Amino acid sequence: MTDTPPEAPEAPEEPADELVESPPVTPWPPATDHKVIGTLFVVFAYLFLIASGVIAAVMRAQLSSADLSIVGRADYHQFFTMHGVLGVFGFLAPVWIGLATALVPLQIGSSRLAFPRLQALTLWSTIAGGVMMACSPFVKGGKLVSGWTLSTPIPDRTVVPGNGPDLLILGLTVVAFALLLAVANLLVTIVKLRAPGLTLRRAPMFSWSVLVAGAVLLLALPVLITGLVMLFVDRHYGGEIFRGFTGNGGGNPNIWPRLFWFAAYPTLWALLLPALGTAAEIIPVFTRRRLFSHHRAAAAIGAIGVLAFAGWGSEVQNLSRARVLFALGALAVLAPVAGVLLNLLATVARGRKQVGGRPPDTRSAPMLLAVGFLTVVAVGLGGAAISALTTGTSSHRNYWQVATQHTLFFGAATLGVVAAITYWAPKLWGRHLSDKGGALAALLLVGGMHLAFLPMFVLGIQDMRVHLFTYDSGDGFAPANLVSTAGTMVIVLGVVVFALDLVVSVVAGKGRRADGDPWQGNTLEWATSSPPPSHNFDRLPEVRSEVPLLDLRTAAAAEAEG
Amino acid sequence: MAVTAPTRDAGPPAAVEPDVPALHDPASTADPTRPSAQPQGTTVLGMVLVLAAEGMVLGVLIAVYFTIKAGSPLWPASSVNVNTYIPTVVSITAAMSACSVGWLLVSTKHNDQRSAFSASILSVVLGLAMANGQWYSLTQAGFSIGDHAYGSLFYLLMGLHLLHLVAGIVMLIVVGGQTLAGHFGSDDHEPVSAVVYFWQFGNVIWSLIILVLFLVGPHAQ
Repeated sequence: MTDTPPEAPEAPEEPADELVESPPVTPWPPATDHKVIGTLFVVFAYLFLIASGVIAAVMRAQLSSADLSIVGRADYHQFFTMHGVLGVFGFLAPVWIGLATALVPLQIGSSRLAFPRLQALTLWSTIAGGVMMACSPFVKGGKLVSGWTLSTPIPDRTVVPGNGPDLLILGLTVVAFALLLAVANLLVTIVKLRAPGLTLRRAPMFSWSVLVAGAVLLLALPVLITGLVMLFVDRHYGGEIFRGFTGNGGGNPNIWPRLFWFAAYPTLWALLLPALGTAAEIIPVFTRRRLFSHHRAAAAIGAIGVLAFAGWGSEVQNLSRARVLFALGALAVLAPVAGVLLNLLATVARGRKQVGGRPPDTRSAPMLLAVGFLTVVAVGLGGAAISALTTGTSSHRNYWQVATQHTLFFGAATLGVVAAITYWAPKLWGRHLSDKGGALAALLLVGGMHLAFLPMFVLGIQDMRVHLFTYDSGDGFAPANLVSTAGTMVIVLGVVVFALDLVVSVVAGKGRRADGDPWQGNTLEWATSSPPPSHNFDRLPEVRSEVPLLDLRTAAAAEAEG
Repeated sequence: MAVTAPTRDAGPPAAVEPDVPALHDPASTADPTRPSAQPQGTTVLGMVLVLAAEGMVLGVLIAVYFTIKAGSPLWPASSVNVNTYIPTVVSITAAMSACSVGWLLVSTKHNDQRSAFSASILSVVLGLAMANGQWYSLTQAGFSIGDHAYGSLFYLLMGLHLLHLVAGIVMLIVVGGQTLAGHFGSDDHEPVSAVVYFWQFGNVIWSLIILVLFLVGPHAQ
């Protein structure tokens, strides 16, 4: 818990928006304004969310009933691959990088990123790599049927011929490299460009979560990039690193899955961290309570970052010797996640009430999304705990794992993204999203996720295998699959409703105009106009705690009282 | 309205009281068009993070090398003739370049721009010699990247260092030109420090490659 600041901080002498004459901002190259770059990242990533969602809808339609043949086996497995690759590396990673790019300088009271032009380069590189990935299935011989892990037989060109796999590998490499540079830029920005008084212990929870996630990605993405380069060498130049022992000097095919999961497992946890940070921003603001323990929540997020590397082997088959260790690692990372969750619940129940300002507002769309996020994380934690216990057994490869991964790393992470956009849209683009549209999107997304993923846990108990393309009516999989498919359609509807809300409210300009601090926020981004000028701030209040704007309101309330 | 807290009435600025914090004006410290506007240590921190990522790349390559080596009955393949002559010459050159970039940094810190420029020219020449030697050793290897797993990893490890070397040479040329233009001095030499760190990390990479490929010997089970 944070102490009350020793003295009342001084407000800026004049409202910032009366001083600001915002220069026009161009959204096209060579724009280096971090808000423009971040917005373009988000737009690009949202297109990939829609693409990945449409693919998921087709797959779920195929599985909605027994003995269906809406798509063929090879096509289904190709969809399986593209759904995962585009979902994680086309949507989830770029969207968080984009939101962090747009928001972190505002949250830490900086006028810019550390290296503005570098972030513009990473944006356009990510788009180029994403287009390469998206085009890969349309290239001759582009069928990739081994799932998003790109496992064997991808390395062997004799089994998977054609240039499609090469294009996917190259596109993924470009995206991973661009994201690596982007997170390095964000890390330097957070460490070096914070406003005076904003120590790391006082860093806003979202920025702190970006710092931890960035450190994880900085160590994980190079592993993926190196693996992809070796994969490319094997496929394109006849290398033998991932091929089996071919007599004189062959390699080892077991290395690729280990490299992939060493990178992908912490990456997935890293992509959940900003969602936790977002919830930790939204819940105190809308309940008008102080975060129950800022420092413990920050420590727990840091611990997730460290422990994210401990359980990577739980997803690798044939690691019998280290099975118990990896199962313990996969369990250990859940403890700090639960810690953050409890911290947020304690904020609602026992957090110190804010003095002054508006009454609690718990029915706004960001709050609804944050609460929905908590329910999805809670379900995901339970699933992940059971999943960790099945490490190394055949049960680990059934639908329980699909349900767990989708609940945590799609459901919760995506709800975090939508909550973040809803919460910060007034700040970034100067317009509120529609209240009703936001509530409807929250209902559809949260309801759809539970409807889609809870039946998958049932399918896991029934031992439906991960890559099953169709099933017999006698297997007993049909009822749960039908419900899950219906849930997926509801999610797709929620994604579309939210996109329409964005288009109508922000692009078409129909949304309510936002003032500088529409939610009565606690952190520095609310101390400037909405949208901010290109240099972000004319003046900043001095920072004496992790909630500088709340300190101002508290001081104003105290002054009004006496 | 940007800030909801009450504002003071307009009037002459009040005297600074000890318990009233001053206002921070970020515009006074940040000019993104001028590198010198970066807070102290920004460029170096960026470089350190990039090197940490590159360290992970090197670590993966070495881990994969030893994993495959441990499972191979014969390592390297029987057709490989490990020649240490050229790598030794490159290593000696690398040691000399480590000294020359050190000279570059020290002379920059002492405002000795003439020595700094000479040091950067010397470092570029030594870097080109290393790249030349390394390229020659690849052409004389007697096997290709696709012949066997040893060949694939040999070329990838050497390629990583060669890539790092070329990037370092480009950076040294840029820094040398900026030194000549009087960009750096005892108070402002962070880009030079960053490039020197980059160069010295290249030498660390080379040392590890030498250790892995040439000093930890071949085996036959």
